[in-house]
Amino acid sequence: MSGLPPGLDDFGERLEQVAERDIEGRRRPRRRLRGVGLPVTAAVLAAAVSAGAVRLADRGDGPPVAPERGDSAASLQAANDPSVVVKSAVEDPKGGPPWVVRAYANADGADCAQVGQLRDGRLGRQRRGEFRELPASATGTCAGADADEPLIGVRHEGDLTIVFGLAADRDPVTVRVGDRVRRVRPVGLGAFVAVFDGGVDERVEVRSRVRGRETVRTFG
Amino acid sequence: MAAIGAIAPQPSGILEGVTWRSRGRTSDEPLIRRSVDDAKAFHEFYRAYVDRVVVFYARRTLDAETALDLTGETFALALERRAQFRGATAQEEQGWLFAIARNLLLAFWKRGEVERAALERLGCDAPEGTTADLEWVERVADLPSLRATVRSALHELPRDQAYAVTARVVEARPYRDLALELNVSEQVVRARVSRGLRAMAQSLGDRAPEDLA
Repeated sequence: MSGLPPGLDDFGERLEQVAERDIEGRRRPRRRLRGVGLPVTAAVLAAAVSAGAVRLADRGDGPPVAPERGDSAASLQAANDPSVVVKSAVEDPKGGPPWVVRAYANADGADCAQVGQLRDGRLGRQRRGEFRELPASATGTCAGADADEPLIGVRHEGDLTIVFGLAADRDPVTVRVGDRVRRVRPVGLGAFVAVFDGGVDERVEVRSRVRGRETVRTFG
Repeated sequence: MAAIGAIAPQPSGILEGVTWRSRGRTSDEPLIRRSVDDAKAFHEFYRAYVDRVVVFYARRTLDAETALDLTGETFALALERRAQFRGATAQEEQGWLFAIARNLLLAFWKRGEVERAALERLGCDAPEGTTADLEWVERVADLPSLRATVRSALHELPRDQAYAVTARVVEARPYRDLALELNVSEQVVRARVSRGLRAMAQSLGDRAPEDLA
């Protein structure tokens, strides 16, 4: 909208997208907008994350870790926050900083996954060329009571669709957005993220395994 | 500097808050009601009010970034609660929106932090505080001038009241700490803050909300 600065302009568009998903969700009430579930390794994970004990190999200590695909994120550095699973990094289709998952336990001890972009060791979001670190108060998607489902979240940033979460098993997670399919191998703590250009209005399907059993979650 | 802005005057032409303006609307039908089944109507609703909501907060907090965060939560709550709107006119719609804004502002003053629960439930971040956004808020809310006015009113207070107002309202220090430091009762500190805010409000041509002290 003319007259509004970019942040407020973007926010209005995001609200419209949320409203669209809400309306669509009411029309198809069996579909869930956001997935939450508890990984099978809940106790171990919660203890590890709450204690800040994410495996060092996964948080990317040492030399920069290359993102899973492409080389647009050559500047990827270890995150300042030890709960950021750097090895989960995938490139940004728009050429911005790579997308990574932060795995942590909230105050109630529930497992949570937050997605963001990593630049200079900081987790944040880049919009219109400006990187802004996520505030400490920002939260992610947290596990619900169902211990037999993986923790999965779907976010839309502009025209990107970001599917992320904490898989229970280390088998590849298959993410389908519309007719596009991507297989992602979970890394430390089961973290995975897949980023699609577009797909905001498309159905998202995530297939993963929990103790060897395939689970399918759909969104939108 | 959170609450001092709350007692600042509201120059006409900049902030109407709850004063109805049609803003080019050709219909009196509430957009928020239409938005229950029409996402674009919610975007239209947002565009119709966002500047006034931002200014409402900016002139009461004197902080552009806080104003953006509060604005984000306001519209997230409006989105969540839009089906609960029972009004029939655009004017009632505006009153409904600013009732949400006033409640959030009171919560902000009480807790000293911006509520983000609705944004988090919706999985939506607050508006980005880009440089352009922050400069825009400063300009439309006329914050530099307002800060100078408030500072001037603070300097006109007796020293004990000015100190109490600054320590309590600007630095958000607990009454108990101030009472210990000044070797007076909490009641005395509260009275100084209250008298100081009233004097500032009088000086600024407005009344201080009782919630502040």
